[in-house]
Amino acid sequence: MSVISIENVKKNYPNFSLGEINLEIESGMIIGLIGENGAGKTTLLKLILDIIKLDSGSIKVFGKSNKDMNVKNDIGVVMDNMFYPEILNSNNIDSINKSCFDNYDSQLFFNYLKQFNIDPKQNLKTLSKGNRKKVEIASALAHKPKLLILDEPTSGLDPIVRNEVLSIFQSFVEDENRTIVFSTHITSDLEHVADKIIFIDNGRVYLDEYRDDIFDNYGVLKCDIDKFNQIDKKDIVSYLKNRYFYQVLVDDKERCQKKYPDMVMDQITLEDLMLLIIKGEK
Amino acid sequence: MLGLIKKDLYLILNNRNAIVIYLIMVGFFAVFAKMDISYILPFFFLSIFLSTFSYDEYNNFNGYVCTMPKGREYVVLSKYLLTIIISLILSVFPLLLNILAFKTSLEESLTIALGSLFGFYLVVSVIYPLMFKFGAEKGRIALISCFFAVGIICYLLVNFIDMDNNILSDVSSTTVFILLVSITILMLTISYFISKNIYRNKQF
Repeated sequence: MSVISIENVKKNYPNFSLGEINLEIESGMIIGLIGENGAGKTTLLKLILDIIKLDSGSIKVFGKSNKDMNVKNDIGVVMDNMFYPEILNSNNIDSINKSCFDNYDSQLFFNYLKQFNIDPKQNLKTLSKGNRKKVEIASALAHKPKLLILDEPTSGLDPIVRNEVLSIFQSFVEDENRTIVFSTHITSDLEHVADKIIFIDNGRVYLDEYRDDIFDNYGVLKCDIDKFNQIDKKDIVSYLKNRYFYQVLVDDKERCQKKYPDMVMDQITLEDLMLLIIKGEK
Repeated sequence: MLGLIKKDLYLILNNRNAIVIYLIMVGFFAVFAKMDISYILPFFFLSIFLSTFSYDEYNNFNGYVCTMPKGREYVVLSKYLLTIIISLILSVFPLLLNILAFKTSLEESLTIALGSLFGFYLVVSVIYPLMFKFGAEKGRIALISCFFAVGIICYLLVNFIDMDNNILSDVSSTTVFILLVSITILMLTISYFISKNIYRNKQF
């Protein structure tokens, strides 16, 4: 079942255009959204959340318009640089959330704060960036949403807490009725937890595939210039010339490994994938 | 909506020390200098309340509130409602002071209170749509401009209209009262719907 349906969505700015985007996001998954700065990830999330308006197309969440009040009750949000005024503290946020969300659970909120070692009496402005992010995550989880939309949720978190938070996210989708859409530059996080990866490049969806398929199919051939010239151009998705060797992105790892047995085939990482697609020559 | 009202109250209470000191000073002048404070308290509240617009902008809470159930609808209503409720509460103190301490007649006291509130709501009706449209900084410039405009209008009224012999001289206090209340309600309603329309279409 599609949790989010994005059809023919377009959004234009003077110096940037997003779309047309067509995406179906299924229930019970962690969807990783990757792309370089300015690619359109945050724009897409803002369109889903009705923070900005579509120029054309439609977005449905849980089968209803994304403007529907009932839909918003079931969405938990962590957006970059977008939260309660920083002179408030977590006790204030708890009191406000209680009156804003139907399923809000105060005890759950304070349990998360305790787990994250956050003093509820401390103003947000006196918290570090990472600790502020923890409060945002606790606030998003505490009203028991069915969908989490997260823009850089682990940025500023130390590795230990990041691991804790990622475990919470994995538990969140365990029952397969809940979904997370997770935009991040820390691609290693997605390599651990994401089920599907959506790669946005220059306002377009370049890739929309399962994580395992990406790792099974994509690979990086490393070779010198002589061997590079032997590679069939049809096998090359993109390539980067380094000082001493070429890195060649291929999308059929198994076949290329057999075809070019004397070349080194490296396991792809999401970071390599992004780098080779964005910076590589086609 | 209650959540958004709470949010603004928490923001206002963050300035509680300044508010208490100011109220003590105003109370002192009211009692000992026999100064009429009917117009001072609501406008003082407005200057503090406008800071909630600034906080919302600075932390991009306006974007975050769009992700909440009925967030876009309730933001505007909560600002107007809280403004009206607190200004009415603040008007009670000078009213009681005039009646009980200065022995002003009920009719005169109510006239003073109503006149002050009318001016206050006139400013609010103009400023709030501007705040929602252009943001807190430009809204403050609009507030100062409003004070000048009101001052100029009052100057013109006093200097060019015979205050003892004009169209309102024969009109009863009750009629004036009903007129002012009706115009206030109309002003605030129009202002609210303009603000609501602005905020509904705003992008963050």
